Amino acid sequence: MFETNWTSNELRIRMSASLENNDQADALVSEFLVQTDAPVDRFAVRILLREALLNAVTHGCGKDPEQEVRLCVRLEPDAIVLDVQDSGPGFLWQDRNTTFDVLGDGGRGLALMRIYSSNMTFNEAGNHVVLRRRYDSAAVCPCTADGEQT
Amino acid sequence: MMQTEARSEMLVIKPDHDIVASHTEAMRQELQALVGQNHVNLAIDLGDVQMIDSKGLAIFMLCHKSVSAKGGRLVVLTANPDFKQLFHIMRMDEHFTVAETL
Repeated sequence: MFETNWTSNELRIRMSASLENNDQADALVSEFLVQTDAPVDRFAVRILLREALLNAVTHGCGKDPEQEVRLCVRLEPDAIVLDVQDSGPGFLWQDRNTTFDVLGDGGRGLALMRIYSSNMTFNEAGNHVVLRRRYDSAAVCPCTADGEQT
Repeated sequence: MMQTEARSEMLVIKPDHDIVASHTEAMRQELQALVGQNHVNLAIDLGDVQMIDSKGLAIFMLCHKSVSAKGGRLVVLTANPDFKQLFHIMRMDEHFTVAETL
């Protein structure tokens, strides 16, 4: 399942939880950004989109295609907003530090979402994240993933 | 799918796809096979890559650890400023070389 609804300033996607659908959603959002001439750093938006969808599909839904992921990309006057919800039970995002061991296997996704967004908000359950990136944002925040200034 | 080419005592690998979650398992297997064949000086050329996600970054670190354990090294070849910044902010360029050319 992969359903879309595209208006002048908003793209909604409802899809089965799969990595292949993440690729399709990324391609469609990239096209949306071009068609709307959105004043955004497209690489940064794609990183945010990829990590939010990966988190939903992998951690939220366990890559179960029976589960569903909903994405809304919205152009607001001062920022682009990515809203990602999944039908899984959520995850304990509060327990996951957004820093990580650079030599380790995981933890990079949350760090990337923090670094490339202006604001990141999870709901209590951890199955709904809203990422906001202001149009006037620097490419990334002036720090490395473990918080040191660059 | 990755093309390979020997250059300057390195084996240069050029993925023809984005290095994102849907491709990382196949790429991990291909890289591990090369390391298993004692190709321990590897260069990954990102010339045909448009996007890297966190699962992709993990593949680079896994490859770095695999070749380092055998006395080799990993070099990532890219002129893309977004990729250079990504490797820098994730502190990965402290562990392997990120360069435009060999």
